[in-house]
Amino acid sequence: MDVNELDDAALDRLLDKVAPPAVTPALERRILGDFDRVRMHANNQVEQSRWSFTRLVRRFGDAVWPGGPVWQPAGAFAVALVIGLGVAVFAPFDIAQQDDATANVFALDGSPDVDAGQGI
Amino acid sequence: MMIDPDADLVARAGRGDRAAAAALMARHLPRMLALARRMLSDPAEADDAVQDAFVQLWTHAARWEPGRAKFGTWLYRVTLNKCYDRLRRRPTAPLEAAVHVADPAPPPDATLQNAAISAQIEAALAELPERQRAAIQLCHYEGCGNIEAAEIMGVSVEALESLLARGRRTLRGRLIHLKDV
Repeated sequence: MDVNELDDAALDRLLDKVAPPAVTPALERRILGDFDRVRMHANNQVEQSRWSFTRLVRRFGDAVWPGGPVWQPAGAFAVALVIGLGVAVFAPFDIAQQDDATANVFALDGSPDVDAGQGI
Repeated sequence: MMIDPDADLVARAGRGDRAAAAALMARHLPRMLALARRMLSDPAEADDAVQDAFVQLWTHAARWEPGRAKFGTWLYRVTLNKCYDRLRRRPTAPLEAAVHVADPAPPPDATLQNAAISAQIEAALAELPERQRAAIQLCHYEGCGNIEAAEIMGVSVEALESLLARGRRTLRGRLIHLKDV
């Protein structure tokens, strides 16, 4: 050790003279405020992930049955499915048809309306 | 298996328990603040750095895996890195900033003597290179062992010992005028 230096013990004594900083209540409030914000954001993210799952299911439903009444409450879904199948059965109208009189009955062969072509 | 005294509090804070978060803060904030103040020499900036470190804690608490690292070590490392980030962003201090450096001459009023001595020691610490300053803060003021301090600083134990030795040697020379205090 140089004669122009303190010894280790003297240095330790000097270093101990420095008081630790005081924690202010304002800083504590800021930190806990951040905790509340992060927690709220995390809750929102859980909510968002639920909705992104919902959107995923909806996209899947649209791909399987475009325009179908897929995204309905479960109770309504069963009813909508029946109605939807009914539309599928009765759907092949001739594009020129405007009303019953202009119906192309040959296009309705698969129709359960078996009386449709009887007048021909 | 290492028993981490903070593991339970971190897990609870991760589940949104505010009381656990407050307990973690009460346990670690004073030492984190002391480290940040020492590193940054600016109380307001130190407060911001510590706040940033806690935001990182709150964000990651839910994903904390006990046993992988000691929580306190991780938290002080985050704090130290926040300080390094701020030091990197600082522009080079203009000459006018030198007016804030403590006057090494003792003040005439004896009642201010202790504060003046403390200010001189603070100034000597502030002039150390940042890694030497961090080593002294962690080992002398925070009571960290060399292994823990090295882990917090992300250096080897040998490098930590070297930083500590160089820092202390510099301080022994700079504070020689306080030998008889």
